[in-house]
Amino acid sequence: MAPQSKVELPLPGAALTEGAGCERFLNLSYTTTANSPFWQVGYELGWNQLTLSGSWRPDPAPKTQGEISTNVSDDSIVLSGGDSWGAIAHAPYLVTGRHDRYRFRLESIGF
Amino acid sequence: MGYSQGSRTPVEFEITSYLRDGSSSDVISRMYLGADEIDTELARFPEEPLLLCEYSHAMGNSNGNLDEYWRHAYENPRVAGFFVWDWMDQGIRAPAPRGVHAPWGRTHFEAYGGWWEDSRGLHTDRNFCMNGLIGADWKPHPGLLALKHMIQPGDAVLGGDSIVLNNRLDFTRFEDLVEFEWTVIEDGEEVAQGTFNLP
Repeated sequence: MAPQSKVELPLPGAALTEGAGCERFLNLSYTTTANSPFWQVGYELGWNQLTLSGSWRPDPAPKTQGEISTNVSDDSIVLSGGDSWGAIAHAPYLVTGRHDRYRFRLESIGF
Repeated sequence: MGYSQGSRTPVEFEITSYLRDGSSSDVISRMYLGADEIDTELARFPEEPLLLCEYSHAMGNSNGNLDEYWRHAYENPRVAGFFVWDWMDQGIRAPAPRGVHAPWGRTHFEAYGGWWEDSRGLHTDRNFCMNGLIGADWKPHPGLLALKHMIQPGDAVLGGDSIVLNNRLDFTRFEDLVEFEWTVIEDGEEVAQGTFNLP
């Protein structure tokens, strides 16, 4: 992403059903990917907290491209794939999207 | 223009613009100009960049309304920036006096103006030297986090079903510096997280 430029990214597809009435935020963290004289890898250089509205719609119907690997632990499922779509549906949550990694907390999605 | 004619070194001299005489400074330099006065000052000196050599006095519970200043900096290239007064509280670690025990069990505290002077009848600026973004013990004050957020390398806003991400850096691609981790929070609980792929 070039200096002094803007880009539009699709929202991650974690969404509640419309009108659920809960408070929801999308927190965005800018973390460094390399060491420098000023910071270590993973240092948070910036952040934004965006308020999500109740009318936010899930992504379009999920489809799969390429290989998706899953890693299930006691409290989460991680879907990984370099350029893949993934989806987990369990009322009232539907989580889809085209991103390189997802992590779900099982207690949050009702498994 | 300005005092530096014939030289490559720009000159900043605060008092000149205050006196409505810009002839001896290359920048509009003011102390504690209100954010709502910036446009007026830029119009008064239509060529020079603006630089506040002091603003946002970091004393006590302070450093509010930074966004009103930085909106100007991000929207107008003539606004060069601002300097917070100041970086660090100027206290000196001193032992707690005999008989005084802080409820949190500390044996020392950061003494400042008046602690030594009052008993000698000397003048002091009192807590006006305790006006830093970090404490005398190097612990960050909340204002430092607020400032960090204002000057972070990018910004993001919602745009319908998307996020508009803005790279504010002049020379660095985002993907060479940072990755963007996202988390969805519902009623205080994290329900999903991931990482954005930048195009």
